Amino acid sequence: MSKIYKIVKEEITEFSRFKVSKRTFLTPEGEEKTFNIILAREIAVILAINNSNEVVVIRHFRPGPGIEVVELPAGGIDSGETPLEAAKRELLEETGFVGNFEFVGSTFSNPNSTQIRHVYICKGATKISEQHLTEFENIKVEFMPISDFIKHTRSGQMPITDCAFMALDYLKLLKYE
Amino acid sequence: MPTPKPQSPQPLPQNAIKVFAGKLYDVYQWEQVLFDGSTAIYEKLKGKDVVSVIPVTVDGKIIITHQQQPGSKEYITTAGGRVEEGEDPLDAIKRELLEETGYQSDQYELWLAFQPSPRIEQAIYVFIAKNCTKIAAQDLDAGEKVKLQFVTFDEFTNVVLSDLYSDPDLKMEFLKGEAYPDKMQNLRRLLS
Repeated sequence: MSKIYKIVKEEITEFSRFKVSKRTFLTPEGEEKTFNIILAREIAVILAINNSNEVVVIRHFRPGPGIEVVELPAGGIDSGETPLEAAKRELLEETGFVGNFEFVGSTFSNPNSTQIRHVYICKGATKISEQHLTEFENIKVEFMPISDFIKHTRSGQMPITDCAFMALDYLKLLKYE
Repeated sequence: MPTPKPQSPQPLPQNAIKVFAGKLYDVYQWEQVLFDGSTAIYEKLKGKDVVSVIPVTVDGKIIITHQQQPGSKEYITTAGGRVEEGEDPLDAIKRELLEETGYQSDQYELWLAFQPSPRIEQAIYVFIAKNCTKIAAQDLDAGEKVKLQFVTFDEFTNVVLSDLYSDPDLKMEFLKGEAYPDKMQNLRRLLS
């Protein structure tokens, strides 16, 4: 069994997209340790494949890397929503696609954040509408043959590389050599 | 043979009086005897019956419609409309399918017929139309914007269960299909 680190103190500062917490843990050895961590909503990440065996990807500016990136559609899980519902809603809003969803797995995002990412596959993705974007979103939908997407994932030029690898692994598209 | 009308779970009684005549709905009221013998005024709406159809083309694709009405956001549904006075629901759906899609069928089947609300006297008929072929251009009125899309049964399932699909009754049928595999098999058989 893993050791228990109990939260004993917390101070939260709110920003628009996330909160930062100064969180103090009590270690199993009885020591207090304080960390600054990011509190962010859980998100759903979707690897959708259309009927031409292409991955539905989105191109947009990401403030962290400071560049335009090509990545998988993803978004926050609203209160009262399940991860699967959020995955379906986000794919429809960001790209206009629906399809057959399968759950791949869940993972932490970065070691200094509480965020959990839930990864889904969407097979047989079909476009049924235009995008429904908020005023803050400027997203372009693009299509990548699976082999190109694997190269793109390996290049490291994607902010959610781990989730993409989880999805590709689930699809048995990674070679173990 | 005329299409039989489904009964309301709470039919409009003989002594109901029309107290308001609207464009789409009339309001009726009546004195209702309660369980203890006292009375109260009860109220119910009456509207024209509604028909819709799931059209399946000769090559097995289902026709969905992207619709927009003045003052509404775009939504997805299947073709349909209101049954005019004295019109049989089957004739109404043939007319609506032709107007909204330009398609015609030689094989109509009544699938669902029900009155969804005890407070509204209004029947809903859902038909399935097989072997649909295009025979004319769309004939839309000024209050309609209808764009067609052709989808497979599996794609249709995802469309119906998505947030953009407007009809809750069909959503319910497909949710039952998600819960019971034999029900989904039945839907697949009906719509292919």
